[in-house]
Amino acid sequence: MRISFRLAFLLLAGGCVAAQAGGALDDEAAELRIAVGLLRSQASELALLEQQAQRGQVPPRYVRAHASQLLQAVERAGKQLSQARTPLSARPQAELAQAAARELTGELTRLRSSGRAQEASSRPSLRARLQQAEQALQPAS
Amino acid sequence: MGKAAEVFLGILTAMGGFVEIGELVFTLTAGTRFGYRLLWVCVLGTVGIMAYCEMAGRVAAVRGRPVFSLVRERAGFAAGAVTLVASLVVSLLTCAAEIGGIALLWQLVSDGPFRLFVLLAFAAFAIVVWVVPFQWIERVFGLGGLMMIVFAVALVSIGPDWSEMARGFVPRATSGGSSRDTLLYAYVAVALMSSIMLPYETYFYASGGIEDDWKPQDVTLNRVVVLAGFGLGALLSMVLVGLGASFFAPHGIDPQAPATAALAASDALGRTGLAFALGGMFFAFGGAAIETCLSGAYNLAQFAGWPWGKHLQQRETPRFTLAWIVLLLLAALLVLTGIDPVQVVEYSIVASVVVLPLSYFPLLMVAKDRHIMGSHANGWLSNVLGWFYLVLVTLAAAAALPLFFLTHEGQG
Repeated sequence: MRISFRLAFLLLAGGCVAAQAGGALDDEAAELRIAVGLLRSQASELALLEQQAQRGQVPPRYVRAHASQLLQAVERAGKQLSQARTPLSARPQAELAQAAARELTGELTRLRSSGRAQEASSRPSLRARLQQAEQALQPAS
Repeated sequence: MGKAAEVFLGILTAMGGFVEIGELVFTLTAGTRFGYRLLWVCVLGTVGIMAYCEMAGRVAAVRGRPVFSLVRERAGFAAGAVTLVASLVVSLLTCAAEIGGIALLWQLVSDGPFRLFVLLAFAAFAIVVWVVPFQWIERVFGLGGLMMIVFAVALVSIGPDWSEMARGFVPRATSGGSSRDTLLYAYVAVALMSSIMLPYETYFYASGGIEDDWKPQDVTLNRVVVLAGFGLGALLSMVLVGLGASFFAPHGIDPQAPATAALAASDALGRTGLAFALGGMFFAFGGAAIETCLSGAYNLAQFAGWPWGKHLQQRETPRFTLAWIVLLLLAALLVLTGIDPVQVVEYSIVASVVVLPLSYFPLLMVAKDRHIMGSHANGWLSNVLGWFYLVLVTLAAAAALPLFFLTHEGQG
């Protein structure tokens, strides 16, 4: 039994060593792509929340609270974006994402205080732009 | 209460308590990123947790021995102590994730400061564990968790591609994807299995059997509750994979928080759906928070040989009582540091898979030993499943950390 426990610990240690080595497989724009993906998801979530608010499927009080949590998530993604390693070729996507993060922050701040969705939403185009940027950052297979 | 009612209630409680925040996050993630292709992992994980909880419950009923008493006896003090520390870390992380989830839910309902809700959650659960008897904690939170069935109603009303969903039960590799996709598929598969086979569930289930004063004649009750309760609970996790695939993926959303998950219910059923989703998640996360802090205290007390159990008076179990209070407090303090609760979920799931083989091996050794278990020792099926899952979780434990880092903490 003790040999089995030692074997388990050895496997675990082997896993940790392999994980360290795993850094070598990293692609350059991974951090940026992940941050852009988070923003794309958050823009989509905001669009859905606004859609449900307009249909009356969620009460304004809930919309405010949800927007507040989403705003915090966008701020975290924005921080991740600003700290991400950005190769020269990915500068345009990084700038687009930074602008999107500012736009999202503004929209969520407004929604957090009003609890009401805007009639003509710009979210679909924002989402599409972020999706495009995310795809451009995909490494070649 | 009649035997039939007890069995029925046990099944419902096990079903309602099956899903917690880690499982919610990973089932939705699995569906969003890989469609229905990881549904087979839900079946794989569910059979595994059934096999080991059945063994743990049987050992508790026949010998009155909980898991950590066996770990110390079978593995020796040093290896047992390492397993204990690892399991305490996992219980702490899981408890913190559940408390964070509860605070996020309360914030959605009353729009107050997050940290205040963390403190309130700590105070509320401390009072509940202190005052409410064990059976009632199980029943109230387990039955309340059944409100999450609203997600099944939402899935049916969305109308997923049922034939594609059925194909998801057959294991398939990622087709035509990059090596990054393959690594991510493997990571989500391991994490999904781990979220279903969380080690605290086995510890808590076995200790619960002793709290409920199970006797050898309750071996059948144990088997029925595990098979039916966990089986029905697994349906809920499959529903969540389905929602990820058929609702969140088309919307381009990677659901990582309880608020996001609730949007699926409100989209299909409006405000009623939203209320049921939030209520169901509250009971499911709350039950898991209590179970993890109690489970940590059970493990410590059983390993050290202290008197333990909610069935005893607090004055008879001072160190056990102090242990669950400290665990609950540390979990709340961890969330108060400002760490993202969803990130804690990721860490707790990865840490869980590493602990699984360390806890399962001694349990299997005892459950199959005819000198200890007599006629209640494992049959051939339990032995085959036991060894199969032991090898599987050992491989998963070895792969979990490398996959976690190679996939940028599962982000892709």
